[in-house]
Amino acid sequence: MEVLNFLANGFSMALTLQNLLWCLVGVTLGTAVGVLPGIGPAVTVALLLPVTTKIDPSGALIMFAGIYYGAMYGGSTTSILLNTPGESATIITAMEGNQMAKRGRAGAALSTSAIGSFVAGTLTVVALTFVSPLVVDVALQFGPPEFFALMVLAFITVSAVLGASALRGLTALFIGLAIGLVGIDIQSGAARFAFGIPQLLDGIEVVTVAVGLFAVGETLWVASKERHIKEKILKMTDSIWMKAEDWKRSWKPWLRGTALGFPFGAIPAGGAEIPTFLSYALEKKLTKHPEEFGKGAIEGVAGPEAANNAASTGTMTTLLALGLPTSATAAILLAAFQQYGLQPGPLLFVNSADLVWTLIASMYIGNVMLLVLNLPLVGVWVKLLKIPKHLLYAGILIFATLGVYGMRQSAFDIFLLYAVGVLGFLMRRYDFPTAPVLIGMILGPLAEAQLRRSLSISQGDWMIFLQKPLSATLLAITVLIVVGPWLVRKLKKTEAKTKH
Amino acid sequence: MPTLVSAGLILLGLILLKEALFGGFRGVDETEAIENPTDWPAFAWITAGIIANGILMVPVGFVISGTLLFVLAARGFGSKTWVKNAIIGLIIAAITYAFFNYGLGLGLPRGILPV
Repeated sequence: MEVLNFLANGFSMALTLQNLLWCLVGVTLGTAVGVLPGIGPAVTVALLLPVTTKIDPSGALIMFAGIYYGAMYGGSTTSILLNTPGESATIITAMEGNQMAKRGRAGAALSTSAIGSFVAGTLTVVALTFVSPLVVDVALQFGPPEFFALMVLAFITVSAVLGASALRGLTALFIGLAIGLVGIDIQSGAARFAFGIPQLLDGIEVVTVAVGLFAVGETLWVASKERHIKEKILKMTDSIWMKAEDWKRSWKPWLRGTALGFPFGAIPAGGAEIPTFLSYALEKKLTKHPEEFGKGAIEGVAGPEAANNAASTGTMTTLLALGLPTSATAAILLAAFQQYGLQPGPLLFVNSADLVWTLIASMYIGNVMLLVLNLPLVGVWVKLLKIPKHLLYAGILIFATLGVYGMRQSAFDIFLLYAVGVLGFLMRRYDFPTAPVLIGMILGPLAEAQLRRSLSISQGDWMIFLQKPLSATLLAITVLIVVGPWLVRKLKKTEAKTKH
Repeated sequence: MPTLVSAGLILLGLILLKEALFGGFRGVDETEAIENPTDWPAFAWITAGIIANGILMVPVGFVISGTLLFVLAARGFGSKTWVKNAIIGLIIAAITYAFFNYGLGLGLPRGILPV
């Protein structure tokens, strides 16, 4: 099989000392930021963008990927020991995991979560290995109209499907699109949304928006809203090695969680939260020990943990094979690729096969490294949690201003950073999702390019999107997703009315 | 494209306005502001830190303005141990400066440092 040849080639390059080091740095950094509240993989990759411009792309991308899935491992440690999730994908882990810790079973919880993450991570990278060439084959037949329709579908599902309000999600998306438009249009040379301010003519940097929304916004929020929350770090009193009973109860949830997480991560519906909730509900239904749920049932940790790691690989699959980011971090990873002049998607597999397969091979290696880092070395990460809030967030801000200034040597960007930070604060207060902003900002210009190309192919005829069967189908699915729930509700209401 | 986006923003803004005026945003916890009031002084300290950093970064240099940011932000989290924070901040800023400026060539402003 050709795929195995590619993979073997990838391994030969991923196993070089240099790439191994990049991988190690990435997964270690990822675990650290996953453990620490207030900073996550999205911000970390964004902050590293200015610094990695001169570095070999495959090494840098290996590191970034490592940060991404590493954070999924690290976040569980915080959820279990502190009851505050390190990452939003690990919220569910906190439910049962923290209960287990309170009952002296922190070691078992940490263990099942690390091993489950490893099982999920490795199995899904295998899936990625075999699924992506298939997806690429289909996607190579996509033309600009199909890509545009796909991106529209992604925009809509990411903003309007999840979360409390489609309205707020769409607003976030459009804000992101607007931010992405700021600057000079490549094709016509016209200045857009620059308001006569010279620094805006170069556009707004991804780093500024990502760090502003996440790091600065988070800092403002925690300082003004959550300062008085005192968290107790639970101690690990039992062994990190699980008993036979724990293994028996964990292995099926691991597999079920993996199966749930991978497809959900791959579709643009908002990342790892859904599959982890679903996994939890599923495990609760299927368990032979229902009375334990809410008090520390190990299945409630095993399943969701596998799910969140599986979801992150699913996201990587869609990002690599289609060039479609399905989460905020994926959007920033896309920006990272663009920094090196690379465009993820089917053509990447064709033109830069070496790079892609080295990256995929490194993911296998990274998961192994993470198993070691998170199991025996978990005590190290627990020490990180003891850093007092004021030092942690002040330090994060130093790095934030460093990264943002360093991008364009411009102090103006720091003020921009603050403005975005306030926006992030308001969005948090009024429950506006932040991922659509980043996706809109990074995918928007790409979507526009495809739109223009499509229109130039059809010579200005907008009907081209409906004439091409695939793009028409994608657009129809989009409409269905938007209109469907509303229609169902309307139908239910009329049904209820006719019953009376 | 800008026309599309602008039109979208205006439309969404109007709908949001309508929602806000007639019963608030759907599904947002309105009592949260009363139960968990925003600590505006904390907000202000962090704001001061970032803005000061922005103003002073180029004239005074990354190390000093970074230290100032650290101290003000720490104060935003309630820490009044000025000297200790200043020292920690200085160490972090200095190491970061050395690493990123000389190690990775990022080009951070030297300001008034004699280095």
